[in-house]
Amino acid sequence: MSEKDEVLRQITEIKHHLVDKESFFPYNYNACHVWSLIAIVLTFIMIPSYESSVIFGTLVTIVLIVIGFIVEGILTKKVNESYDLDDCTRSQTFIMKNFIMISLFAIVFSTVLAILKLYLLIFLLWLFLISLGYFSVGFVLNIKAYERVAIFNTISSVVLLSYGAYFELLESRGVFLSLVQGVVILGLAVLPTLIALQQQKVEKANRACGV
Amino acid sequence: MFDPLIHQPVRSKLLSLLISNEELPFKAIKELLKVTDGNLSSHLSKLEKEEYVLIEKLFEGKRPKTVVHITQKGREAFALYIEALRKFIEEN
Repeated sequence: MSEKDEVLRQITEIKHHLVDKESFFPYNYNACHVWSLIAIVLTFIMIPSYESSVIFGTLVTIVLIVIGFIVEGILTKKVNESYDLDDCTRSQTFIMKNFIMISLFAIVFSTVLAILKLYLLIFLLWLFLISLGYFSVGFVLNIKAYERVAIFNTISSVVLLSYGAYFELLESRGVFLSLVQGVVILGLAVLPTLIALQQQKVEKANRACGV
Repeated sequence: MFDPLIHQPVRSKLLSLLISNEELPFKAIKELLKVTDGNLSSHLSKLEKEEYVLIEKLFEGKRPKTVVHITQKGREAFALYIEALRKFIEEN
């Protein structure tokens, strides 16, 4: 290898860490499976619980989201301990704060939409907002799949919202609502789970290689 | 021309990591650089000898823990190294 090649290789490696932000992000991807489960449960029980009472529906949503954050916190703490990390890394804190703020806004907005009985919009709201979170995850962790899911979800929410508004289906309880729920399950549960499984596979393979 | 202490794949990556993360536990660095304990210890010792990094050995309860920090001298040396790389590329 010539000296120039050597220098270029060094620059690429350094760029990888400093510019491409390959920062350290220990994560237990089982948390993703928990969030997927919560997304599926919420998709099915949101409307009945908001219909029984808006306060009850809000409480159910808060409880499930809080459970998700608690599980995520416990799993993150454990994985951090395995690397001798006492506190969260900057990336972990950034992503956690991001999702907490998104969830807070989504919960309050969902309550308002439930009062107006616009249940379908609640799903589109969550689909869109959580996608913003996926964008940040994709950027911080440099995992393109999260960005692709975020784009898919964002476009889906915009298309479904436009279609629903144009054909006056936003108060629909029929096929269109089921379609929206299906897209929410796909975008917030199935696809993230597939990415998590893929990441777990990569981590396992790295460990098997003695990494 | 290049700082021989930094112009080495593992050590340059190690310093890049420390610059972007301020400080890191030994285990985390090992995971990120994909090196063995012995290999990493050897590189860290060289950097510590020149005071580019500071190695802190702590105890958490009964569990030993090693944390690596980059020093001001290490930051300055790394900045000079980057400058040297830039000059080299410009001239070649």
